[in-house]
Amino acid sequence: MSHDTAPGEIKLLTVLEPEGRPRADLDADLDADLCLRLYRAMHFQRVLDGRLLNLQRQGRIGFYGTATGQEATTFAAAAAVSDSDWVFPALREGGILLWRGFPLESYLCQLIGNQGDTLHGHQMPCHYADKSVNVVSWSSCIATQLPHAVGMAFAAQKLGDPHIALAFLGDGATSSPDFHAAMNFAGVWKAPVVFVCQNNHWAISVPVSKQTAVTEIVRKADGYGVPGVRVDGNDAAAVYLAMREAAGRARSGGGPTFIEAVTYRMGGHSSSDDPTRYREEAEVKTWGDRDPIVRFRRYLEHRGLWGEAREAEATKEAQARIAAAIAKAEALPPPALETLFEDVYAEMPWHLREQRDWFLEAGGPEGKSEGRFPL
Amino acid sequence: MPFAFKLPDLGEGVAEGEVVRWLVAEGDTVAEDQPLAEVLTDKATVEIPSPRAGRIVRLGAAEGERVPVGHVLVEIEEAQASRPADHTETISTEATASGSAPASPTDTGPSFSPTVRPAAKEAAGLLRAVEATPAVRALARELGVDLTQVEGTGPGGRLLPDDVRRAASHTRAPAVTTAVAMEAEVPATGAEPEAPGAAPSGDEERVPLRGLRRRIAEAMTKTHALVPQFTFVAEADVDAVMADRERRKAEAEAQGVKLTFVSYVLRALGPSLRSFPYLNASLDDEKQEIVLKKGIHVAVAVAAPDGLTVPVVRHADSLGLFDLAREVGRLAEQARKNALKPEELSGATFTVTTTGAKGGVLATPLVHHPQVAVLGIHAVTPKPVVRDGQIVIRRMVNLSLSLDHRVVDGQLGADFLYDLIGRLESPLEGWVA
Repeated sequence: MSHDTAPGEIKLLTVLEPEGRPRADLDADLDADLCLRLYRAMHFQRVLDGRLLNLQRQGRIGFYGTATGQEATTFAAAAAVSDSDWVFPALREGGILLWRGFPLESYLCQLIGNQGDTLHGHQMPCHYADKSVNVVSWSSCIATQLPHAVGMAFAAQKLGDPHIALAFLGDGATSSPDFHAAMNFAGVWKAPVVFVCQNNHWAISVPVSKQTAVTEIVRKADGYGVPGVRVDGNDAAAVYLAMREAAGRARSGGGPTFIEAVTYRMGGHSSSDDPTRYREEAEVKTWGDRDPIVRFRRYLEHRGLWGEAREAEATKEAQARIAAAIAKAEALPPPALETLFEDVYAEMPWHLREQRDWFLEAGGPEGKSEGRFPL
Repeated sequence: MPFAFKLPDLGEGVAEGEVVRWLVAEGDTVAEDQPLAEVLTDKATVEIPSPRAGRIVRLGAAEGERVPVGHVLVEIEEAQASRPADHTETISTEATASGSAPASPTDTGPSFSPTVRPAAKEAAGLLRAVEATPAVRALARELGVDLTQVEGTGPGGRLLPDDVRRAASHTRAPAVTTAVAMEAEVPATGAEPEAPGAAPSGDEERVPLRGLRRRIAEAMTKTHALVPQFTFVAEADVDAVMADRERRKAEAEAQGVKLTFVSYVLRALGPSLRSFPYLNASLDDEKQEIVLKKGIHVAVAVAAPDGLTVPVVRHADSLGLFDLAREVGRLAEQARKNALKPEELSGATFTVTTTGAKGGVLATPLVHHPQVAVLGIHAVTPKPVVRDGQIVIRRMVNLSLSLDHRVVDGQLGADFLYDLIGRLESPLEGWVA
């Protein structure tokens, strides 16, 4: 593996051929149990996304964004770090909560914003976070999570805490000021942080070529003295190996790494988006042929770890598990009214306490004031 | 009772959707998540999957129909035990993750909060929303004005400082009384008499601006605000045209075509628009470029059930007289049925509108931005005119042409209109064919 970001051609790190054969002798490097767990997570995410997008179209959840096409980068990156390392997500990494054992029912409750939502409906649907799994809150603003990740990593370094930060970002985020601030300080402080840039080619409807003049985003890392790797983001094995090396560097005091994972957003930006309005069907088809899940499945088949029967069984199991969890989640009532005032301040200030008391007196159950409150 | 599936808000604030295509029919049996219809919104065209398994009892909209969010899209007679609610008995607190566990549903019931007192509940229904900034609220407290009794004049009815001051000067009761009311329990305001203008009164009816009406309102506001336009009016002698029409009417009818006067104008328009490319154009405001359109696609305003709509006759210059008449007739029929396809409503390069049988003398039709011209056709009326020093009666028509002055100056506009009139007045074999 070479991580050369000097002028000239930049290598795209790939280890699995499209038909699933490893380019190098990988098998010893990739434990069979890990491979199976990784595959199951990617596969589950695909089934889940299909079902949840349907739920949005049926008006049962307000908003949704799928990870379709980007499962390999998301889960392989998560698999290569410790489950207690801190994750600063961009916007398609919700599956990491599930990877770390967050209950599926609670995950679905977040989409509904009901009493089972640990965020009490304070976030947009699909913007997951939970303290128990060390995944911080998403921000819809672009790249604001990056300085936070560097700050956390720098603090850990100062405190002698062994945790590192895993900061996700999209291609569009690399054109934002927060990206500059984060990369600059990560480089100069040698903060234990790994940036994983999911270059999925589209910042909503803006193609990479319209937001940066650089053709390989990884080149930007050079400007901050941060080692960069450009990896095939649809190759779970390649992402895993690159991430493992980067995490090792961070943990051993070697400082940050920037990983550009070249992938593709197969669906719309979100349930509110219609990508047919701005991109060509042929481009989507090309990337559809590079499906990360299909590629990793072929690798598992090549190792004799997977087959058609297991695939069918896994799909059926996933569907049943999801259906049962949806039924449970949908049966829960909305969050208690007073939660509207909670979770912002550690100690609620007097003016919020006053508003809360008024609100609880006049707000009434079942929206008798038609959802309006005479503040 | 069948399950009524209502059109959801498909994308962060969508108000309505158009059923493009049904993928199921009444009487069909559907599985959960089976696609029901394609729905077009302002943001996207999406497939709507069925939330329930069962039999389709009723489709709630025709193809091409626009319906508001919340409209019953389809009614489904459910197959047994497909409702999520059937699983209610399996709910337990285990559904939550770490952190605060929710109270079990049996504690709180289906409602929100156990802390609401009965008195507050009753009063809550009488309260109305007050929109005011904290500074305005502070001013109201200072002046002893009850904000629930003041009508706001700001955007969306927001209360402004002046509203509060005005209300303070009009308050008949001493300020101190109102101030006491402000400090009292909120429900006290519920007993106050209705403020003037606070609620709909008998002498006005408020009709929500929705659907096509709203779209028209938005388009007209935009074009009026954006386009500096002027109107040029001239009259044409269409005696020969009308005589030709009478001659050919039976022949047209035999072919199932209603030969209208407008078809003749459309026929004459093609060559004029070819000769005057700046009238068949648009202005790209962003790039500061005038876009000369190669194709001539003429929108024709027709009445539809919800208001005016403008379907497009594509390549109008390549169609013969009867074909033009037939196409306009077809589009008008589709418009009446609300069945126009999106592609039949877009891509126009020029618009024609008519003022109806009563005609009028002059109109100022609004240019349909980003087009640069619209032609208003008045009623054909017999009038005395002077020919060879004699007063004779001829069938005349007034034409009102509105133009985007940024692209078309008066001289060019007049030249175009007289070119069109010249054709309408010239021997028909030269252009009708």
